[in-house]
Amino acid sequence: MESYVELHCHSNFSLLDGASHPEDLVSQAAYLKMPALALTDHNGLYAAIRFYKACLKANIKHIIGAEMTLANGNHITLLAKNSEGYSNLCRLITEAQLKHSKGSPAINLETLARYSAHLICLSGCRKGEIVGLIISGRTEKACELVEQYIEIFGRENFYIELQNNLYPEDKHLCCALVKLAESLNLGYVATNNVHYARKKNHRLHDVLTCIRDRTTLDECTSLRLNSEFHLKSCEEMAQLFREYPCAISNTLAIAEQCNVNLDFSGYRFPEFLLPPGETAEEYLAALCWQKVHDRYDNVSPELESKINHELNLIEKLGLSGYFLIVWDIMDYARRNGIPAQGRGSAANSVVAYILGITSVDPLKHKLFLGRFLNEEMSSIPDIDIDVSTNHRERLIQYVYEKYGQAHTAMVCTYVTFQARNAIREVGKVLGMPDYLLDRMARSVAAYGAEDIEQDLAGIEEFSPYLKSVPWQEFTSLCREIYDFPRHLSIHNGGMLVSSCPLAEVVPLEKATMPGRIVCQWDKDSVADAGLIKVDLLGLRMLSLIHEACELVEKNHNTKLILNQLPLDDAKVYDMICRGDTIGVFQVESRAQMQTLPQIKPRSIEDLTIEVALIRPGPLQGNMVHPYIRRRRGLEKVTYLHVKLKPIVEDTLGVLLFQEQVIQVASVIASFTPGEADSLRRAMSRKRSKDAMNEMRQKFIDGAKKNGIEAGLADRIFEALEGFAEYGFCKSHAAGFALLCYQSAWLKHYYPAEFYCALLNNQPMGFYSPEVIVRDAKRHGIDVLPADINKSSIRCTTEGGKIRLGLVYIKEMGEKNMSRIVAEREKAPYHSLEDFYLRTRLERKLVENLILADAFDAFDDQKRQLLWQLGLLEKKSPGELPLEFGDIKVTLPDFTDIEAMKADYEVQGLSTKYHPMQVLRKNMSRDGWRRSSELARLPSNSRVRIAGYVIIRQKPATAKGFAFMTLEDEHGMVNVVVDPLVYQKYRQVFRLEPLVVVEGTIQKRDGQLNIIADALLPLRAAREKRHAEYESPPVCPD
Amino acid sequence: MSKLFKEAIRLEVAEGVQHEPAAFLYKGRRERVRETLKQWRVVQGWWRRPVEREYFQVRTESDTIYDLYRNLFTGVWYLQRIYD
Amino acid sequence: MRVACFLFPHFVVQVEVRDNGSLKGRPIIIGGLPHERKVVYDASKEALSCGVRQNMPLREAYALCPQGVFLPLDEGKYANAFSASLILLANCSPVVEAGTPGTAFMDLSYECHEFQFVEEVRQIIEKRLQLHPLTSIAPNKFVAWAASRVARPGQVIVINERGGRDFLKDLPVCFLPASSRTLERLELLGIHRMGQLASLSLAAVSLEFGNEGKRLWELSNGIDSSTLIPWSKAPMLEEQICFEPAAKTIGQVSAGGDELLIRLSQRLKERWQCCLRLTISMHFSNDHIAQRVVHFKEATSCKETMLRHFRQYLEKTRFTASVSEMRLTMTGLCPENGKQTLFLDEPLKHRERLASTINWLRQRYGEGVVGKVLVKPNNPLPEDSFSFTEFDL
Repeated sequence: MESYVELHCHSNFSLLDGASHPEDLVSQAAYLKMPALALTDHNGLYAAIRFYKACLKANIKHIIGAEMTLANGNHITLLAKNSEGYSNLCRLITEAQLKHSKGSPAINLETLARYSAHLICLSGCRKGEIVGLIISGRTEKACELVEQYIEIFGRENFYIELQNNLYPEDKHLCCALVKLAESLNLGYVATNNVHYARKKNHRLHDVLTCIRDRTTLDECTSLRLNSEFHLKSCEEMAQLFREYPCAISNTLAIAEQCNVNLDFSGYRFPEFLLPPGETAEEYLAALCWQKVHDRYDNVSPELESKINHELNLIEKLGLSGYFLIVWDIMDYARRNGIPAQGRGSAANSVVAYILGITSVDPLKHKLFLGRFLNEEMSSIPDIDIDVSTNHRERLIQYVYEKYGQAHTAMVCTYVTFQARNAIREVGKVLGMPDYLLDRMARSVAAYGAEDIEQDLAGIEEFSPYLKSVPWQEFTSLCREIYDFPRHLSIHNGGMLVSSCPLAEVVPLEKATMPGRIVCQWDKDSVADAGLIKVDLLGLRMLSLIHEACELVEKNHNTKLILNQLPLDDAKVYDMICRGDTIGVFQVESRAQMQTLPQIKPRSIEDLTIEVALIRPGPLQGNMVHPYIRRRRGLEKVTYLHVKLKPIVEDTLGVLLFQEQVIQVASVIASFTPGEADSLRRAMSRKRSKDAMNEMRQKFIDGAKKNGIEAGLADRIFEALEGFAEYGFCKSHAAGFALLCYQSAWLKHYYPAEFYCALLNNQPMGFYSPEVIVRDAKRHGIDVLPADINKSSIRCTTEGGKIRLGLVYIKEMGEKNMSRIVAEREKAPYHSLEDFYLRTRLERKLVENLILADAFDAFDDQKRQLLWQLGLLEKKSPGELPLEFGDIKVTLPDFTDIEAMKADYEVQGLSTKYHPMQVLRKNMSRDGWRRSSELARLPSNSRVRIAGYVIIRQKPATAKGFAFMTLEDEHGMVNVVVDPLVYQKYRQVFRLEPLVVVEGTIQKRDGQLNIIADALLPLRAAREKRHAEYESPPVCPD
Repeated sequence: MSKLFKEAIRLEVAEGVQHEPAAFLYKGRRERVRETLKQWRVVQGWWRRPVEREYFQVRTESDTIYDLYRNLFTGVWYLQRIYD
Repeated sequence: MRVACFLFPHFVVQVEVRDNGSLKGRPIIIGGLPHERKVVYDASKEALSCGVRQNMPLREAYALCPQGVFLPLDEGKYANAFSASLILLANCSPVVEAGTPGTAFMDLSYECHEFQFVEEVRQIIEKRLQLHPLTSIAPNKFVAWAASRVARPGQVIVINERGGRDFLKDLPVCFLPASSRTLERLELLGIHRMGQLASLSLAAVSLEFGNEGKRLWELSNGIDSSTLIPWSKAPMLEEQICFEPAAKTIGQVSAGGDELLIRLSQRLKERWQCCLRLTISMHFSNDHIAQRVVHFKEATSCKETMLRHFRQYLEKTRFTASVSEMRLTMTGLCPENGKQTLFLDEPLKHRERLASTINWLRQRYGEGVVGKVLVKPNNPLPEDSFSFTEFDL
């Protein structure tokens, strides 16, 4: 039987154009029995690796190509014949992307000619230039153009592309194109300009088109005429092109010529610049022995053998160059005062510690190398570096300069459609009401869009809609769009460095940030292709600590060297043990705050455990409560087997760290380090049942040889399995514990500077700025509103208080803020008029400033200022000052509620009011408790308490329980919501900012929780003001 | 110039094997199709009122050009446009 | 002046329910079928409680209220129903004004027992037409309208001659015919009630809000000097003049015509209307009658244009005798369109002027009167190549 190969096919990596995942296209092609399939996304090879892997799995030949946009806006289709062709394609795409503004790549014929070798060119779709000329009747011109292409690609590599998508002109066009091809003795080939795998996907394609055009289906003018752009079978294509059988057979001929290999592990790293005559191994060793004394006072034989062992391993694995590159980056950071530290498993390595890559001593913390390096490693270990977010850019620039633009690029990531943005964007396209979409998006619990329907149907509010036809359509489209890439973004820190010019391996393109280049692959593709990256991850906590230290130096004339702080300051631990940890690194979550008073960490080792313990993994594996009981001496420390004692002694017999998994595997079942590490990997996210069963058997067999009976081995294995999925590695936890201690120390000793830096490094951590502001106040640090004569762009400290920066005021924008500050430096502002005439900001912005109290220093009533602004606005520049004096107006003062509302509207927080403090006045109800009263009440008392929700969580590990933290003007209180109550009050839980909780007080282990039986929205009386004329008033209960 | 029927007119059409129009009755006259000039398919409006039509632009033996379509859901034929 | 206002809330819904009892209590959405690309014209309270709002695309309304009863817009039916109520009112009072569909004003200046009278009229309407107006009596149109908006069914609010300002003082400023921008600013300035606005000085309000502010200030003080525009069944306007003694020169006749046209165009402008035809009838002293109809190329309310046509007519006509009487009649009345009129004198930017014009029109004639024609020549479905949509500000 004859075959057809689709040579023009877009996946959803033709962003917002293709409507099928590459994998779906491949499986449909397999279903249609296509021997091969080409992927030709617009100006990119984004999905090349995913496509390649899918093809391997489906046993279909992969053809790598791209549909390129020419400088005149026309399209041509290019296919790579071999690896050189692939490199040329990469270069062409890179040129097209880098030489033009972001989002509108294009190539000209000269560039095309330069990199045309080993490529097959098809003349293009309906948007091709040749087709355009034929439609406009200029056949001769078309011939000339074809001759040009023949010159570029060679006659045997250029084909006229025929498409018939049942458009009115298609038949005539094919006829004319075939004539043209025959007259020039050229081959022609049929393609179907595929944009989705199956016909039914055309709906999603229409939706994507609308998202791209930012319009609705009803308004969109660029929808395709019909649904013919799917993968078609050989029979369908043969029928469409029955007059031109050659067009079908040529697809096969082309497919046979295309053979591209996509394994790049040979490329690896650039050579590190070494002193002449030295190898990387020698240089690394020398460096190590030279620097060992910076870290250790004396080199014990044990340390020496450890270093030698590691150096040998590194040499064996060929990673010396990699270590040197990372060392070089860290060295640059150190020399330039850039806060940075290695994270993750690298901290297990003593070499990394000596080189200054990591800051935790693996010997002191008894860290275990096997988690990081072992002889049987199948993949390269990543050394990830945490860098102060504010300084990250400098480090990146350094790498760019050192290795050259051509050898470095950031790894990209795809922002994909998930439940929330799918609901919003698909809904908008379908013309669904905004406010409903907003509520749905905010109530949906599922992260992925697959389960939207089920999830929403469980909410009483939405279930009547979801049964109707339009909403059914909506949910099915959301399900379909799930995980589609929406746009390209820069990966948080991954940098690709290669020995050959990167553009030969992977196409590069511009990122949104000016001057920044990203490669077209995300971290998975990069890893699958066998390339190595260095991760420079921005960590805001490092920025915060750095900024706080600078402020301390400025305000107190004290230079802090945090790395030399003694790690045993009792006052700092006291604060942590109280759970007073808002803003403190890693221990500020609700769960952390609740366990801190029980675990009572008193040392950096305790903090390491705390950081690793209160995490989903240990929670799921039921590790937390046993540990707490043991820690508090309520339970005896026991071990499943005596051999486990040395491994888990420090963690009181509880498995906590990834390193322990590896150690247990090697001690109990005699796994080699490599096997143990693959056990850990097998347990990671993408675990497969078969692989696990295999591992289990191996583990039990191994244990048997060591004389451990199968039942016990099985129990040990289960314990391993229970948490390994989300467990921390100890080295990582130790690094984080250090930052935790440092931030806590700053919070305790220099709270003003700490909170100021915390406000300046948002968003970070668990809490919103408003919560931080109130926490600062509870610690006696006053936060002042912005002031046009005092505020800088960022927040500043002002005599032990914090002055909000202009940046907190909505819609200000960098340019306007600089203008305000620059103009003020000439002379302070002395009135609203003076300010307005000198800065000439838009009215809305001045209004926001007035509402944010920034003009309060002038002592005018805020509404008078707003009134004045209205008059000023009417004045043209240069006009004499208006006389406001004669006409006086009396305007009401802002009420507390109005002022608070204005605060929240223009800056998202209020420096003066807590919402509850304002609303409390309007609530005369008895029996409403304040958070400060709860401690005095006995356990099991019934209470009713209202507050502002600062945290709401429903951890997947909590078996349906949900938690919220309420804050009122006096403090915070934790609320536990059981699954039934949650089900009933889910919408209140998820959406309401102010909530009334009815429930019982539970006091246990020094912890106070309210077990809720009902959650009610607290609606302010102000909302009822005009309601009587519009709709029936909504009662709060 | 052409006359467009905003509300297309239902037609009796004699079809060929591939559902192509061979002849039709319009205003009481039987028009025989001499040739099909164009043929296209329209799939639109699935989100409100689905439309799937196979359009044919035909020249009849009376030398008039018509746009006809077949509703692909019902198989019913309509006249959409007559060219002057 | 004494004015009664009859306000039929959700007039078209009332009409539909009256004509089809089975619709009572159901979520009715009027404007078209869900798949049509039109907007909601009106909806019953059951539909409103689902979140359906006027001028919302029908598709959105369907998403919000899948169980809704969608009815096509039958403008003829509503116009007839409204005319019927106007006729009924006109039978009771010499001067009746038709406001936006569903709102009518009645001049009560000559009525001694206004309350009983209005109450009776209300009952007649309920009985004969089975429609339920909210009713009030007040010194002017705005106060009457505001009172009707807050009146309860079956109640007649009566506001005495000096009570307007006091009555309005607690009502929200959003009752005022203000632009949305002005309403936003009033809210920001803490001016939520009309009484607050009324208590500021006129000079200050005018400085801050210009002409619009002046008018809003007056209205919130209960001052509304606009007069009732008599509604007549046959849409025409007429003015006549008797010459005493009969006019002998063209100059005299022309001066008379000028005077009539001033009055007519003034009346047109009050109604925000234009006319397409002007009929000139002359009664000569020899009892001959001459009549001529002037058709304008496009509807107009411009006195100068009409006067030019009128003079051209005079020049062409041979006068056989002196003119004793002249009557000018305008017919073919239609709403003004934006090209012909500037509704506000303030020098605003084009877009803002358009916006304020549309606001005025909507206030005057209700939502749904200002539309935009969209032409989509390349639409794949020939029948969708043009459409009429709501104007979006």
